[in-house]
Amino acid sequence: MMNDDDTREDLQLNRAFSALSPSTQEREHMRRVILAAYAALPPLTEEWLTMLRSRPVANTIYTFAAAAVLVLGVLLSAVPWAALSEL
Amino acid sequence: MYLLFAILVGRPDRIPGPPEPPEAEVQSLVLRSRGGDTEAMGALYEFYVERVYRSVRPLCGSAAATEDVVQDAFVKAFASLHGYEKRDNQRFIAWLSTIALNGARNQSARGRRRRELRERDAAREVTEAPRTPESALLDAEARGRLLRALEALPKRDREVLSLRYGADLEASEVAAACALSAANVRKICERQRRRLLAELTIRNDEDEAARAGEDP
Repeated sequence: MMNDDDTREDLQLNRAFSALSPSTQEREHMRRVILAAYAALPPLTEEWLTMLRSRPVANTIYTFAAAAVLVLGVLLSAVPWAALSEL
Repeated sequence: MYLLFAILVGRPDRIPGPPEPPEAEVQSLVLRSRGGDTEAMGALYEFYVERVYRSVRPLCGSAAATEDVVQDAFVKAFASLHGYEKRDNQRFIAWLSTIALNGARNQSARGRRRRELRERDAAREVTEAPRTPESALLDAEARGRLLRALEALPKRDREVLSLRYGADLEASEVAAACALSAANVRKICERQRRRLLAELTIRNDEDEAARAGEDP
């Protein structure tokens, strides 16, 4: 349970931390940078293609391997293991 | 005494951001932002930038490094809003602060470019014209005093206090971000809160005494 002293000290520290707030200028600057950086983010597919192009052979192999594991997983999960074990 | 008052009531030349909206409004802004609505992103930014900035400022070496961390955190958050789900009643500010905290940890681990950033800060201090010399002095002194006092704390405690009082998170939210128990967070806050306030008062008195000594 918090007593009055704790609450007062919490408030004092909250106020002390307000000294660390960014200036209006800094806030505006960061806002501009953030929105510009977000707008410049490449779409996911483009990012993926860029990644593939950087190491075409290795990344194509990885991609096909991942796809194969996925397909295998789906196929294996479709097998009625419980029914087969009773045979 | 005036300086202590200024620390405790905040600085007049910093225009505070808008008050935090109800969580339902935040969720609707998040939803709109997920669809790429930059106006909603701007609103989220305005609501939370101060708290995120205050929570990572003591963990970064300089104001410029803090800006980088805050910017990265917001861009990352906006780009991965699909990953944010309001699980276990997690507030948006708690999720955002955790991203910023991780960014600050990585940034301080890298530690490079720090000198360069400090130099950039120093240059900015000169180019950023304060409203009055007195307010600039109050700004720098209050900020410096708090940062020095926080620097004396262990890193984990500094993170806890920064999230608790800078981002204004609940003990349970701080606990989740720092991988601690809520009881542990409360204990750390209780232990370090008084120490920090005492340290601030001592430093304030020292500064005032030094200023009095300088006066003819």
